[in-house]
Formats: sequence, C-alpha cells, structure tokens
Amino acid sequence: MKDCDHIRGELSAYLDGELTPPQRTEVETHLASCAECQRELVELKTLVTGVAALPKLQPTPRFLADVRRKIASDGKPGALTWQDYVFRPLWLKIPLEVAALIVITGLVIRSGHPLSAEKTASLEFAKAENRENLRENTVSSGTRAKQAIANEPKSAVAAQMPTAAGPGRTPVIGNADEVSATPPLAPSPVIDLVRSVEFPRSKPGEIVTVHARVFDDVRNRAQQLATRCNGRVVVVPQSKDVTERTLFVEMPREYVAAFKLELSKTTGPSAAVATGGSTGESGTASAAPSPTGVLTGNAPTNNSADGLATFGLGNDATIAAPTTLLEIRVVAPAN
Amino acid sequence: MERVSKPDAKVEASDRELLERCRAGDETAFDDLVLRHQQRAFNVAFQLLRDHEDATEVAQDAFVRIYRSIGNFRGECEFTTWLHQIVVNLARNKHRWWKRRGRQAGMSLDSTVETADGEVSMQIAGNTDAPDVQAVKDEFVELLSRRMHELPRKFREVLVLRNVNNLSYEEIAEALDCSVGTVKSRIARAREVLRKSLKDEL
Repeated sequence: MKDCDHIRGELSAYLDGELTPPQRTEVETHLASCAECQRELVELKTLVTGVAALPKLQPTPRFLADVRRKIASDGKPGALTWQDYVFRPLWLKIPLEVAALIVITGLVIRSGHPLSAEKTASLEFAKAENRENLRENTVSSGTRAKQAIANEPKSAVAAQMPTAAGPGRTPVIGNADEVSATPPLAPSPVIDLVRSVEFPRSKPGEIVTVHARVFDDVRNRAQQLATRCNGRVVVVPQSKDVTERTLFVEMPREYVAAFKLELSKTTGPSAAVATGGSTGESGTASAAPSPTGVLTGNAPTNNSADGLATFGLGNDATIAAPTTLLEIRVVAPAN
Repeated sequence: MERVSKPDAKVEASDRELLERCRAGDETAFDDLVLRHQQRAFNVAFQLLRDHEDATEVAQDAFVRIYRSIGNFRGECEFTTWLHQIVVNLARNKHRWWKRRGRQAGMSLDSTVETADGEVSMQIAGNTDAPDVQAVKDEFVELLSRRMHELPRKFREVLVLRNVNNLSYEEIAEALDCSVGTVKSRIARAREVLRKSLKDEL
C-alpha cells in the first residue's frame, strides 16, 4: 500500500521525536488503523532500544593524564602550529602565497633568461670571430687599431659616457646598436680580447672567469663598462708572469648582470683599447682616463676589516649602496 | 515516543563557562571538561572503530585538538557537538589509515585490553542485571554491536551519534556537516539495513 510505504519511511524519525506536529499526527492516525505498520513500529523500537543499550565503556583511568602528556609535548592552549603560521587563514594566505610565487617565478625567469640566451649567442659569435682573427694574423696591430676606430659606431662612443645610476633605472649598459652595428663576421682588429666568459653557478654575481690573452685589455674593457654603470675597477698588484690575474669591479648590484653580459659580448675593440693600441702579447695599459676612485697597481697596506678598504676603496668611496664586488679572473690561454 | 533527554541548559552553560575559563588560562577548567566528556568521546570512538586502543587514542587526540583550538572556537555550536565533530573526523582518519594497511578492525566486547597495568577486562558502565538475563542481553548486544560495525561508515556514524550519544538530528547534522534531511533519511535507511541483517541472523 502506498500510504504504508510513506508512513514506514517516517517511523524512524517518529521514534526519535523528530517529526513536525502535522507529520506526527499523520503517522499516528495511520498507525491507529494499520496493524502492519504497528508491527513495523514495534520491531523498529526493539532495534533502537537495543542500539541505545549498547554498553557504555569506561575509558582508561589514565585518560586525562595521557591527554595532559600529549598536550605537554605538543604546545600551549591555542598555540599556533607552523601550518597556522603558513596557511591560516586559508582564504587570505593561500591566494597571497600563490600570487607571490607567480611574481617570484616571473622575476627569476625574467632575470635569468636573457642572460643565458644572449650569453650563448655572444659566445658563438666570439668563436666565429676568433676563427676569422686567426686567418688575419698577419695584419699589424697598428692597422687593426685604426680599423677599430673607424668601425666603432658613434652611438657606442656616446653610450660610453658615464651615466647616473639611479636605483630605479633599468640596468642597461650602452646602446643596443653597439653590438648590432658591428658585422658579426667582420674581421676584428683585436685578437682574442675575450675568448670566453664563465659564470660559475656556485657563486653567481661574484666571480667571473675571463679567458683572454691580454690582461690589460680586459681591465680596460671592464673599466669602460664600470664607468658606464657607475662602478669602479680595482687591480691588485700581481706578477705579470702568472697565467691568471685578478681584478675587482665594484658597482651597484643591479648592474652586475648587465655588466657580465656586456663583458661577454666583448669581441671587438673598445674605444679605450683602440686608443691604447694594445693587442699584442705584452698588453700595455690603455689610455682611457681612469674614473674617480679607480686604483691600478696600488694596493693599500692597511688591514682594515672592511674588504673594500683592503683594495683601496676605503672611506672616500662614493658608490651608492647596495653594491657588489665582482671578482674577475683573467686566465691567459696556454697557446 | 518520548524524545531522548538532552543535556540541560545548566550543563551546557557550564561547558561554555569552562571554555571561557580555559581561554583565560585556567588549566583546571580544561581538566574538568575532559573528565566530564571523556566517556562520551571514548564511546563514540569505540563504536566507530571497535578497537579499545584506537578509540582511546582518537578520544585523547580530540581533546588535544580542542585544547589547541580553544582560541578559535566561536561558540556557534555546543561544545559536545564540536567534540563529536572532531571525534568522528579523527575516527574516519583512523579507519582509513587501517583500511590502507589492510587491517580489519573489530573486537568483541568481552575481550581483554592490554594496558600498562597488564591485561584487564574491558569495564562496562552500569551493568546491574541478574547473570542469566545479562547473558541473553550480552549475546544480543554482542550480535548487534557486530552488525553495527558491518554497516557502511555513514550509517554507523549516524546510529552511534543518535542512539549511543543521544544527539538530535540537528546536532548530528552539525557534527557530520550535512543537512538535517540527510540525517533523517540516513538514520531510517541505516536502521532498515541493520534490522534486515539481524533478521537473517536470528
């Protein structure tokens, strides 16, 4: 019977006293005239009573003591766990953390990608130039220097003028035309100014190894670039016989990546190198005027705790913080 | 049928009072809360897990969680509803944990329990019947308890909360985070399944 099916569906809630008054009246009216449903109710009642009669067990007498022990090993009342600090409230912190992650990932990709891509391109370019240079080895160094002056685009010279390095500025050194104006496979007047540049992953932004024959050429180029990014070059006196020499460049941190990129692109003569005419193995100093604070060949004797002062960049240093001290190791090739 | 008695307003106010004192740093207030509700928490956990050790751990962990979260409890529901909510959730986790490891939980009510004081019989509260009456009852209760444990988890939860701990449909809905309508139909269905399984047995 349809009516019985409906009522039997309500019997459970009826037993629990969870029906509304009209529903309860409906059930009781039906029960008064239906023996089947009355039997059903009795069976259900027996079952409910049985479940309710399930024995109540006593917890262990040490229950409270164990709870206290667990609390003592876990923390204070309402003490926040690391999950609370990191994730709660979820509605606020999760979106913020996801947004921060996206921004950081973007910044990392943006700062890392151009350097690696352009570095690869410039190194390939340097190799091509080296091959060309070897073919033209018979040309005199003086001739090369003149060619260098002629090839140097004016925009590059203009770009070499010292510029103020504001903290908000985009760290770009020089003009993009400086590189693109030089034909990629044109004979370079300078042999192996910079053969290759390595950026060790272990200490990024601090040590750069340059493979070049002439230390002074590298120093001059570094000096040019440093001037343009408001930095300065420091050379520690070293024997000229050693195959590896070191120079230091101090500059605002934001320019470090651009500096390294530009240094790695150095395949032709810079203005300073051309003027100095140094392309031979002896590699004499350049004629470019040293920017303020640049010390070449004079190491101070005081042992100040300040690392910069050790290299002669003591109290009179005018570089705006934060700065980075870049160590450039110039390694002469074996041949 | 008469509505199963619920905790009166005085006790509930007392729970809130203890919570307030606990929030203010009164450690004895928390101890009082544990002592008052430890049996309730333990029995729900035991009926859901049928394992003395697991039930003890779950009930204790529920109080530890309450202790840590007292600052966040805004009093939207009764303390007992909150306690049941935590116990049921922890029991579900424990049940899943054992299920993943392939253990079939289950224990007879007259089995013994291994404690730090040695092996002891499980203590049953309020056992005052004559021995022969008690034996029949025990048999039926043992069977009922076994069949209860064979029910699907959702059915078992509503029956335990309703008939073992006397929660109203509304309180069960809060504890299980579902609607009152769901609780009503789930209880009816659970009783139907349980009745059929007992009929087959008897």
